[in-house]
Amino acid sequence: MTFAEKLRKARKDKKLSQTELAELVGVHYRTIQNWEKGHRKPSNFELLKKLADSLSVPADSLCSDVDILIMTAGEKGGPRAARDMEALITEVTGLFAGGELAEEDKDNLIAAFNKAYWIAKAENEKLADKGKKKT
Amino acid sequence: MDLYFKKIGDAANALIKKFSSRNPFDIAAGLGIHIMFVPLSRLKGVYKVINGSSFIILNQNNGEKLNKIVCAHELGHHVLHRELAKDGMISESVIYDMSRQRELEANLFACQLLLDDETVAEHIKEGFDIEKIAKLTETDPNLIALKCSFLVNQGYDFIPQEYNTVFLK
Repeated sequence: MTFAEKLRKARKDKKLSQTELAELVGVHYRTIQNWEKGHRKPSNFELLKKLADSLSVPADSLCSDVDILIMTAGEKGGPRAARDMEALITEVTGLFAGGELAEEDKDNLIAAFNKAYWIAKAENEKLADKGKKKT
Repeated sequence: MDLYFKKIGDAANALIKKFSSRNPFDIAAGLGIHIMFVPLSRLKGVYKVINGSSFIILNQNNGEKLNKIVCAHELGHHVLHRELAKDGMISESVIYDMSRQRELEANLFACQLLLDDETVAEHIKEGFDIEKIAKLTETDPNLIALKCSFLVNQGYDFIPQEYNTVFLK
């Protein structure tokens, strides 16, 4: 199930309307709509937690580890970081699509790339301070 | 093929000279490449450029000897294929998106970096086979076979050996 589908199911299980849920979480009802349509996901972990609490479900039942990684990236570095992280993860996933490699390797590689991403970002920032960016 | 060998050989020699070392870890550090050890099973290594910073990921289960070779190989990708790695990572032991040409080039680089001509030539003259030379130099038979091709190309009178161009698969 996608996040959108999980959200919808959890909301229906709790017998809440989109407007009611929106109120509980503290967002506009359109936000709930967008989430359930699959156009968007919560932009940060705080919001995800609030959503999960309002639905009385654990946060990781709604979002996968990978989603949370992307969310955290967004929190730390803004939408660009979230996009970059998503692209990196897609790349790794593509690598494993052939079925040649072990699944545990995928998780470990994603974790490594996540770490690498922030190292790269820090390096870039240092260079930017010195007046010359790498990219 | 001549220019090819020469270009790759020159690149390796330039780095050996610059850092006074054949050790791929020393050279990587000197070039500002980040090295990460990750527990993996089949995947031997990955090279990737992220936002201008270069990363070599090595399988910590490879063991020291293999990791030296994989590191040298990935360094080859860095020196020769950096542009390509910005769009997609380059990984070893995967059929996905692997170009034989690129792998051969990285292996040629690794063998030039890790093995010095005279030592290997001497071993060959002594009559050792590539398995034995691989043991003596603490490398891999395929690397030795590649080195033979280099040496033959340079005018040594040896018989070119069979090798597996994608042995790091």
